[in-house]
Amino acid sequence: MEQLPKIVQERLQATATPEPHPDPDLLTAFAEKSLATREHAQVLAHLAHCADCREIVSLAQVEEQVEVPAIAASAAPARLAWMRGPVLRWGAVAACIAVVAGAVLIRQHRPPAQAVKIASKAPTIALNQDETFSDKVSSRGMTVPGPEGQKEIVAKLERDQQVKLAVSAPAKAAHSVRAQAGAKQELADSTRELKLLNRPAPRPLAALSPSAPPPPSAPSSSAVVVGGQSFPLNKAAKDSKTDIANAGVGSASETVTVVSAAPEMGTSAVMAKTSNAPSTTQTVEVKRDPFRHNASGGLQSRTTEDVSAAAALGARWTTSPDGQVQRSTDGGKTWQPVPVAGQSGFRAVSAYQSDIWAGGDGGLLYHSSDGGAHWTQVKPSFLGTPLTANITHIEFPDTRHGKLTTSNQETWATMDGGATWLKR
Amino acid sequence: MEELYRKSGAEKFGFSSGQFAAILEEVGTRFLAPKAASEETRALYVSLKLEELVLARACAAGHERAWDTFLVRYREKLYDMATGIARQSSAARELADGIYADLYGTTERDGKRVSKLASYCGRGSLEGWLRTVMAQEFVNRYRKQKRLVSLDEESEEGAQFTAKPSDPPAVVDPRVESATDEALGVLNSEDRYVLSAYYLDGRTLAEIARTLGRHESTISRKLDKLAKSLRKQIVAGLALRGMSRRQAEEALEVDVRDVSVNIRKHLTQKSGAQTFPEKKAEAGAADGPG
Repeated sequence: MEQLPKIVQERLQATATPEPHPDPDLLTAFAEKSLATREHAQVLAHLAHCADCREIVSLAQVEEQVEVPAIAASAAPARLAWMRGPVLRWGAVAACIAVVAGAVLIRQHRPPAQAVKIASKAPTIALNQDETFSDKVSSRGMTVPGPEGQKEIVAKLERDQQVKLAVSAPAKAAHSVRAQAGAKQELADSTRELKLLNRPAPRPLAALSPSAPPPPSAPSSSAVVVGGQSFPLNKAAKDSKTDIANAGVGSASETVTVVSAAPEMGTSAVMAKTSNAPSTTQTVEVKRDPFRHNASGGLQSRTTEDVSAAAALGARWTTSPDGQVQRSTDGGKTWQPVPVAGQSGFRAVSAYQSDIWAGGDGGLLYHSSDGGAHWTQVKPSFLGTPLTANITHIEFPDTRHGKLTTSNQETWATMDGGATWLKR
Repeated sequence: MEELYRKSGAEKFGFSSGQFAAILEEVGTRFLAPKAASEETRALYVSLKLEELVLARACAAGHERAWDTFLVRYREKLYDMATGIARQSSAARELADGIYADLYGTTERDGKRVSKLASYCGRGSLEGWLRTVMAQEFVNRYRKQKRLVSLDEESEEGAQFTAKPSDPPAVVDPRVESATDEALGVLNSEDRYVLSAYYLDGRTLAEIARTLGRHESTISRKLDKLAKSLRKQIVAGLALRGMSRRQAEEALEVDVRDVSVNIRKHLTQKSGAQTFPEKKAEAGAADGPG
């Protein structure tokens, strides 16, 4: 590169014009090339004279990914060449055919009466049983053949054709069946219904109410599958909220009520000061229904959070006069000390689901996200200044937003679960 | 305006259409001429990043949901940006914390919280604006600080606390200065920016190309062409000022201050090599075999 004489460099630097610096908005728009021509020229004219603004623009620009993997770059053409080969092409076609055939066979052989299966992601309860199937049979003017006849028809249809059964949500609506032709559809319907005839009739949806007993004998209908986990239906089903609220820690079974239009049950964290607790301590009662329903009444999948919440359900937290963290699982009748990394001197505690915060003297602050099983020390700091005052009050209405109050009237707030803090 | 209001999603952050219009008017006042045409105003409003503008203003107003959205989108990026700018983790952390506090608004004016986000106008992306603000803060705060060196470290390293030698005032031919200024004066902004960024700031061709949206080879050719063209123009200007061509080229090639430094170095090396050679010879003879 041609060298620039030193005198030219000096004069280039010396002839800077003292113009007002552009707005950060303008510099950003300049860097992103979204300025109009006139404004672009104005900003460029300033940058030509102002070293600081040039540096800001340079620092503010995103570094492009210059490390393009040489291996990937060189292999790409080879890989593409290989993929162009007929072998892979036909192999892919064969794989697709195999997958489709497998899916069809699985559908055909899948037992139709899977009772109530709640898809982990689908917001609705899918049924493959129409409570009025017998009405359908008679409405088509057909009679139900005997066992031998049933076997013959089933075998024939399995050989000849495939029927797609699409069961649409929501649970209240009758399931719909898509057929290839009118006559074949009727036979397919008959086949499915005949299969269903061989099983005990599952109870209609309305029967799975809190007051109704579970369907007898059919093993698949005595359990509810939620997110891959099987939950036995409690014979003496009670209101789900009551059951869950009283389940407490270590409950081995849970009651599930499947209703078509369940009200949406949200979460609630109740923080209250009990009359028994000393005025300087803070007691928290946590109530939570881990089974969230969506607007259409379907159950959402259970998450790890739900499991932890269920485990910590009904727990109350407080601090003792000697600075220990305590927990009660029987509504406050008895309290058990919870070790917090061997520390004491706690004066305030806050709990939301299984997320527990305990704070005390000298900025002592610990956090547990698993209901008190494990604790992590948190050291809030703001602009390099750590929190050293005594924490007298903690408030966390959810897992992310929280506030600490100290004895010297400081308020420390976080909006990201304690990763960063602001002091007011 | 209604369309822009709907597009921005201002309603979900509690802004009425009137409040939204007031925000746009403020932006227009800042970037448009007092009597700007309606087309120009409309073009400006349409070019704004409305959704991000509304988010920033909602955060500045203390809207909790807006802050949730802001944190989800930008919290991690803030620290990544700081690391990219400051390069050192401790400085990056401090830079990010400082910016975070400014964005949140820890200071109050007239009983109202002052948030830096209130100054975002949506001309560029919010992420880019955050990066620019952070770079600005870095340039202001860190690059202007003098590096503090421990005295113990210096003595261990053997550094000497010598007085800084005062350079003699450079006597540059005023004709060279004026010819150079004349040649630089005819450059357009882009050419001057390229020269300044490369020769003064030490930017790479790739960085300059990225800023200007050009190809690296284009910048390389431009620099070569500019350097040659400047030299030619200065020589021509010096010729007009009474210098011969040879004198003009010598004036550009040789800097008086560079020559004086060389002489100083040369003299220092000579005296160091010949320090008391005769005394050393005598000492060697005295030690001898005995």
